[in-house]
Amino acid sequence: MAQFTKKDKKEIDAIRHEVHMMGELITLRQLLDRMEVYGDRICMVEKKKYEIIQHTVRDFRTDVYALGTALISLGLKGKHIGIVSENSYAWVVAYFAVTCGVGVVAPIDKELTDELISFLFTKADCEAVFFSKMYQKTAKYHLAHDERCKTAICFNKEFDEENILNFDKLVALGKKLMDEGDRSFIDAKIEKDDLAAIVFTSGTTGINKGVMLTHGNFAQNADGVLESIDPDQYSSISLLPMNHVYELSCNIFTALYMNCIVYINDSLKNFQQNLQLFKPDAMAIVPLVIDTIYTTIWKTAEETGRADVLKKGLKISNALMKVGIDVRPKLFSQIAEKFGGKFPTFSCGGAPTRVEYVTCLCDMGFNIYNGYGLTESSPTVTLNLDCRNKPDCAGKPFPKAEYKIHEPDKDGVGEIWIRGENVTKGYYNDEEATKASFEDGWFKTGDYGRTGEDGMLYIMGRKKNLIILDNGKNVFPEEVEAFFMEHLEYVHEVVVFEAEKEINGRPQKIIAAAFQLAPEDFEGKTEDELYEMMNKDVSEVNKLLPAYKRVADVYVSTEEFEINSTRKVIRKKVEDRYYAHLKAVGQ
Amino acid sequence: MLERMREIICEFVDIDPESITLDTNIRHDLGLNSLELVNLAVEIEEEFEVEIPDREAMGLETVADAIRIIEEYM
Repeated sequence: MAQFTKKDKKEIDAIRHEVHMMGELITLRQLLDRMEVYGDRICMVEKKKYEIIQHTVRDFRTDVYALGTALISLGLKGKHIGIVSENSYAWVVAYFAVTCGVGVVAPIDKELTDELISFLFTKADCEAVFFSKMYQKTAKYHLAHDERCKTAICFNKEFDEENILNFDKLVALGKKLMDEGDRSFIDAKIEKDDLAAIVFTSGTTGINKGVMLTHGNFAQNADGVLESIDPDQYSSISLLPMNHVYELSCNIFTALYMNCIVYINDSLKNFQQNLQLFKPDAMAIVPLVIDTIYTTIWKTAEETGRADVLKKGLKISNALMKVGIDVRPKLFSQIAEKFGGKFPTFSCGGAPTRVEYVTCLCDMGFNIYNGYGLTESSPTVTLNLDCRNKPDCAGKPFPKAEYKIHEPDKDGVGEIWIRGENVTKGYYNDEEATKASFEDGWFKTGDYGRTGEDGMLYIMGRKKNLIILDNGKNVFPEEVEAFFMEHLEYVHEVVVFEAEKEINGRPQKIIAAAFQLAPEDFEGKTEDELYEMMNKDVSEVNKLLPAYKRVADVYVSTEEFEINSTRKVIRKKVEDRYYAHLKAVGQ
Repeated sequence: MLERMREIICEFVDIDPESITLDTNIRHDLGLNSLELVNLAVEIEEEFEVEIPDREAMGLETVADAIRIIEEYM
């Protein structure tokens, strides 16, 4: 795909400079308007079946304005509008159309079940929803279950049914209205503190909360990325789901703002092929991708008998790097071939990375950034641009973001509190949770950390029980516990936790559950029979949960779990029992 | 069908094919992560000449689930 000549890059750099000189970015609408300077340059590329479609900045802005105008004509001004779909150009157009002049957007995790997606649309008070063909059942389910939602709009051309509107037709309607003089969207005024999106941090029931993010929150992040990162990036690939603030804020918004072409990865299944096709300069990823790349490189090296050569190459390269000679592009060119011929820059977030993997990949020539952030801070708090030398830290504060270590202990470790223009105003319709999360203007993250002598933030652990999976997904144990208690009536107590278990010779981070049963209910049953019963039942209940929340390993006990003075189960003791059991059965 | 599934799975994990049954859990018993699961779906698509939507691929639980999905999309 697009190979940028020196001249192209110079031209883009000049326009970027022009954008930079426009001053502080305040709203997403301003971002959309400022993009005008890029004119007919390509901003997004996507694959539709076997066709590659390039969208210019002009087309994108026209489509956003037209769709926004059409949505207002449907009576949706000021309303909340949901989105559930795979990543696509239409997804981004819909997001900008809703936020930049119509109302508030609620992008939902596409990996959830139909019922949960509908539940979250309702929780966000959506009166219209965008969806792709894959989610037509979901959209119909939602329309049937929430009478306040009367409009469903499908992104796919071929889908045109009664009660369901079509994206392309709406854009055409909007263009017609604008030609006739409709300025309702064009003249819309957006302020910094206006709510742009309601983003659900995780899953389902009462435990999950809708984070309210304003235009100012997003604008600050886009501005901060522009200020911080290496400007020598002219294309990126959108791999992570766009409903994640991390992908949207750090990749899509920033890329659009600096005219870095966004190649949309149409399916995870085509990722490798798309890398070869698009040859992106950068991408936002989660640690799972780092793990997979690292494992694949070494597995291939072992299989082809080149592992020793690779080890030796790394040794030589590292020695030369110390005296300022970089031979990595030449020495590890075969690895770069897999990425379209060059090492891309990875911005890795969502979960902690494995230090040794990051170091090794940096030594091979990959450029890796990581940092610390959360949905509530849209998302960047700190950024580490030097992963090769400091792979274990989360970096320095992001522009205009601030953190402090609250009540540090003798080692300097305390809860990380954050504030700044990137931080949410609170949770949607949840004053109690909002109140509990803020103190003296600081947002209490629930994470523990310390500031090193180098001024960098080091993350030390979590106060909450939250499980963060390698793919960046967050799972609240309490939510999964409540789900199992509801579905397995005979269970007296359940504790869900993150565990490390070796499966087929590989250590894996999994979700485990310890179940406490009443002995009198199961008199005469052997331990093996209890395990057989529990495994079978857990497997059935698992099917009702989104795949990433499923329990992978079960521990069963007829002895009571240890409790503390407030009669709460001591989770750590239960986890210890689980590991003792694994040891006893030789796992 | 089970035999062909066993062959495909054994390309991803070093395991005795005979130990793979319809009830084998692809994630929890074989330890495939979500990216490997997607790669498994690609192999299945090529072997059986089907197209499995990402949403179905990510939700795969057991070998029996995989076979059901193949039959559904064939």
